[in-house]
Formats: sequence, C-alpha cells, structure tokens
Amino acid sequence: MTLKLPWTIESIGPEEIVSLIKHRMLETLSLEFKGAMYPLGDAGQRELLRDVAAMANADGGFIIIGVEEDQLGRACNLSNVERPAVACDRIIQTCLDSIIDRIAGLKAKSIEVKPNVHIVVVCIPSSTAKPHMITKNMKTDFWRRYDRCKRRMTYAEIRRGFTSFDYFQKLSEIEAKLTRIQVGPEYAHLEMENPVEKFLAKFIYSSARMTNLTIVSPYIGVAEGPRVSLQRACSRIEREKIPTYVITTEPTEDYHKKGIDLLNACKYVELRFNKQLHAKVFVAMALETSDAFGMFGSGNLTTAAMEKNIEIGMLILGRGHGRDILKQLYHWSCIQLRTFPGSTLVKKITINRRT
Amino acid sequence: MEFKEWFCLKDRDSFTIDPKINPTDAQFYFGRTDVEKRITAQLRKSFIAPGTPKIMVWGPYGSGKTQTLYYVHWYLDNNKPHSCKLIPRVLHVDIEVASNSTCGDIHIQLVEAVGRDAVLQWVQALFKQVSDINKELLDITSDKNIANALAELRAGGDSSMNAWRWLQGDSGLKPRELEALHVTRRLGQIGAGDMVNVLISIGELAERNGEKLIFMIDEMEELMNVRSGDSAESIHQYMRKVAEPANSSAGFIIGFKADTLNDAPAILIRDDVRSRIGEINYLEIPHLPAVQDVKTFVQEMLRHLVDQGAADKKIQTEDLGITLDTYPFSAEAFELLCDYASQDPVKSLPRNLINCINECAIQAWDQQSQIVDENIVNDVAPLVFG
Repeated sequence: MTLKLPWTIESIGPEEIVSLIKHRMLETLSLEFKGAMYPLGDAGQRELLRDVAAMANADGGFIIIGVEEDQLGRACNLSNVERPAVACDRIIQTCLDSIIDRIAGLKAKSIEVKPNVHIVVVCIPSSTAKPHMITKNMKTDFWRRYDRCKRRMTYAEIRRGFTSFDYFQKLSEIEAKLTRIQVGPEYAHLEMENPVEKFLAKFIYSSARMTNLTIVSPYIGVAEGPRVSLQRACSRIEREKIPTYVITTEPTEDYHKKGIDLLNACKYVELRFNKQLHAKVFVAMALETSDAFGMFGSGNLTTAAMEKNIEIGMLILGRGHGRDILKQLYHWSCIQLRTFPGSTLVKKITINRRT
Repeated sequence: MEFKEWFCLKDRDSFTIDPKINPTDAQFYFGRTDVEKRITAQLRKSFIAPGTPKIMVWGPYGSGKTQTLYYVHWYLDNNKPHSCKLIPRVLHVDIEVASNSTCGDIHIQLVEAVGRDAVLQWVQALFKQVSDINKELLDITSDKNIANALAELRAGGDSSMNAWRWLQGDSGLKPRELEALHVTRRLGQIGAGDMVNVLISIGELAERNGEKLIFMIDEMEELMNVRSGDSAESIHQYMRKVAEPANSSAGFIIGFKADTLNDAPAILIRDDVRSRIGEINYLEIPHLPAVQDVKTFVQEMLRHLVDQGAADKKIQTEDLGITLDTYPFSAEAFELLCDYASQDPVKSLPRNLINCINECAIQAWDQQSQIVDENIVNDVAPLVFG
C-alpha cells in the first residue's frame, strides 16, 4: 500500500513516521528509507552524496534515516540514529562540500519518534539547477534516482539536463529579451555613447573584407580615442586598398586642417568639400552584405565627438531590413552627394595606372 | 548643369542600377541572354509542372542574383507566361537568419510577408462566393486545425489576431486561446510539416482568389550562420517539404551566394532537396565569361540608361567625336574598360562594371568633361578590377 506525501519537512513529525511504518509505506522515486546513518569514511560519504544527488536529479523527495525497509522496499521498523543533531550537520556539510550546484533548500531534521528513538529526515527539494554533480577526491559523477534505485546518468541524460532545465531556459529567454530591449531589432542599434568611436572601431577591427568606405562629416579631426584614430583607419585603407570617399566642409580650424592633411596623405581617399554639408553619415560596404555597416547621427569625425560631446547615432548592420537601409545610405552618400551642386573635388584617388 | 543632364541620363541621377533604390530598374537584365532564356523557360514550365516555380539562383557576390529576382518579378508582372493562368503575387522576403534560427523563424517571416490583411481578404472573398466556408476551407486544406484558424481570421478582435498568430507559428498561445481557435495543438509542435501545410494552404487560398503566390527570397547564404544541428535540420525539413511535388501553390525563387554549388548552404543542396526541386532548376548566374559578354553588358546598359535622343543631339552639337553606342565613353575608353573588366574573370561581375562606369562618369563630371576618355578609365578601372 502506498500513501501520498503532501509533506514539507516542517510538517513531518513522529506521527507521520509511525504512519509510514504502520502502513508499510513503499519506497518511491521521492522516498527512500535508510535503516542506519551513513558510516563515517569515504564509502559512507560517497553513498550519502549519491543518494542525495540522485534524488535531486530526479524530482526531489525525502530520505528517511532510521526507518528499516524489508526486501520489497516497504517501511518496517524503526532504528535509532545516534547523535541525530550531529548527523544532520554532517549530512548538510557533506552535501554542501561535494555537490555542485548546491541544492537550494536542502534540509535535514531530526525527529524523536519515540522516547530515545531518533530518526533523521533529509528533505531534497525539486531542483531547477540540475543536473547536480558530485565532486569528491578529484572525481566527478552524475547520479539519478529511477523509481527505487539509483544509477549513473548517461552522457545523453547529462547533456539533456544541461540544455533543458528550466533555469537555463529561462536565463536564455531573459537574455534574449534583454538584448532586444537594449538594442532593438537585430539590424539597428541606437548608440548613445561614443557612436562615432564605435563606428571607427568597427571599421578598424573588422576582419571582413571591406570594399568601400564613405565618410560624410562637416568637420573631421585626427579623431583620436583610446582605441581608435583616423590615422589607424587610414592605415587600414592603405593596407587593404579600400576606396574611400570623404565629403566635408572646407577646413578653417586647425584641428580640421590636421584631419584633412591625414586624409590627403592617403592614396585611396577621395576628398570633396561642400560648404552646405550638415549631415553626418558613415558607411562601410563589404564584400558580404552581412558584414556591411553604417552610422548616421549627430557626431562628426572628431576627437571632441568621441571624447567630450554628447552624441547619438544609429548603427545599421547589413542584416534583414538593415541591408536596404545601408543601400540607401550608400547610394545617397557615395553616389548622389558626390555629384550634388557644391560638392567640389579636392583630391581624387590616385593609384598606379596601367602603362 | 546637374550630373544627370550632363550625361543625358534617363529618369535617374547616376549610372547605378538597383531596383531597391529605383524600382523601375527591375526591368533591366543586361548581357545575360542565355541566363534570361533559361530562367524564363523554367518559369514557363514550372507553372505547368509542378504548378509553381521552385528555382534556385546562385553565383558569386555581385553577379546579379538580386537583379535576377527583381527581373523575374518584373517579367511576371509584364510578360507573364501563358502557362501562368493566375495573377502572380510576388513577395520579396529578406530572410533574417541567426545561428539558432529554426524553421519557425523562416516560417513566420514568409507568412508575415504575405500579411494578415491579404489572407483575411482572401478568406472574406471566398466567404462571399461559397455557401459553406468551413467546408471550402477544408477542401483547400485537409488539416482541420488550419481550416479552423483560417476561418477564425474572420472573427475579428482577439480571436482573429490569435488565429493569425497561430498561423505564424507563435508558440506563446495559451491552451485557452488554442481552444477558442478550435485547434488541437500549437503549429509546429510536431514538426515542420504543419508549418509547410499552412504555407501551402495560404497559397491554395490565393489561387482560389485568382492569385499565384511566389516568394523571392534573397541572400539565403545566411543559412550558413545556422550552427545548431537541430536548427539546421528543422530548416532542412521545412525546405524539403516546401520542395515536395505536393506543393503546387507556394512558389519560390531563392537566391544565394556560392562560387560553386558545393559552397552553397548544405540545407539548399542536400540530395533530397535537389531531387525534389530538380537539377535543372538550380541556375547559375556566373561571372561575365568573355570580353564580348562584358561589351554586350556595357553597351546594353548605356543604351538603356542614357536618353538616346538627347545624347545623339549632344554628340552632334558638341562635336564630341564619339558614337552613340558607347556614349559617354570614347571608343578607346570603352575598349579599355572592357579589357580591364575581363582581365580577371573573378572580378568580371556586373556590380563591378556598374561601379566602374559610375566612377568614370563622376570623374569626367569632376573634370567637366563631356566624355569619358582613356585617361579616366586608366585612373578608375584599376581600383575596381585590380
């Protein structure tokens, strides 16, 4: 005969234990009887850890120490547990030391069922952090309870356990939501801190094969930041022979002249001035569309924009709808703007001609 | 004078061809007579058997796959083959694929491309034509769940919204909501087949309303991003079922980048998908193989982009010393350009040619020159073709 167990460790008392024995309660997936406390020493500790971890890796339950079972696994006799308080402490400490992750809510309680007859109840809650691993003496192990017995988990079970338990899934869902909240759609990111520096860094450090760079910025300085600079961007342009089209205003300030000097020294840069220019657009096209990216916003290509000013920009990536937006940005900045009235060629791209 | 007037451009401000920038550019398909013939022939046949196009176009970056998809769309709108008895409803879908995308992600994007309004309109129209809409919907799809969801679109309010969510494969519907829709499970719960059945059913619904649903799906090389084996397998199952002969109502033309077919995403070229689609429906859009192909491309492009009348007048009045068939390039510059373009077959691509022509024109404009001469080509072409 089996009884249902709507127990909590707080609700278990002498009557419940007596009732188990009276009704010859059967061991189940969630209920195990132990006639005696786990012996001291490695073997005893190992057995304890396996029993607790196995139950935690199943559905949780109770281990009742001090209740003997018969051959069929039915509760039959009481057996006193010596020094029950110490036993409880030892059980908890052993599990805390050697089961990873720790089983949240693991409790052990001693109950005086009859005068001078104590038992220990170990409560193992149903865990959201399984599979729990036993680690002891430099060895690791995964055990699971199946009905009344336990055995080592298979590789597939362990893998399933890691990929399917609620906590992990919930974490993944939370991460996904957080990413969406933080950055919006996959192809558009609102950059509220150092947008220009982020674009420049992406260009300098991207391993993608870039086919074209367009810089539309009314003011251009040497743009020196902790990680990036116009000089480093020019180095990449020269090294990889990336045609670069720059449209800016005619410089009057020293910092702007320095930026122009840098660009003038770069063979693969075409430079145009347009005094009506106010827009700030940066587009880096790549051989693979998905590697292309662009930025438009408030920031010029200057050190001040990267370090001092409050700027904002929208980073567009070459994915999904971003591809179309990038095409439009590229077409406007690299094709149309260069032939706008007032866009005067200052320096063209000069490379070795065929002779 | 503006750039477009300078070079007598017709209805455009540059020599760029891009149907996403300028929708009328979809009509252009230069220098690809062979490819054009093959693709239009396959289209004609596809409407007979299997009943809807199932075509893959592939080639290197810049070879004109996107232009091919848009051209086919234009062709279906303007030169529809006789074998297509219905009005093509062509939908361009930029599929987003992430490393853990599954068939559900593909499915929702395809269904969203059709749009709830369109499907509802079809259901409403059918309702007006028949005496028993439920029976009719069951006739369209033997799947009772799909029939019930389609019927529920007419309900309005939350019920209609939930029906649409179900058809999209939204896994967030609660049991109560499923019950209200009279469906027995979430879509996709038992696999990709359910979702494909929805797509096919929507296609059938379109056909009952006189339309032929065809998806143009570009940049499917992004399927290479799918890293998870389970995700890739679910997408493969979806593709396989969509490619089945049983699907004669939801057509597709898929473009993907590949230098050889072996480079293609495995999902698209697995034996079971290939055998269902048919080898003949894997169409390569190659580099322009020979200098004559390059010349044909450039000449056709210039002829279509330039207002021939205005250009001819300019050549005469300004005594430019060039002929109309290469305008605004001088004959020598034209030959030089084609020579540059064909020296490396890998770079002999429409995208590079268009880019080069545009840059040459911009440089001529900068120099206030009416024509593009050899000097300009020598300045620009090495940058593009190496």
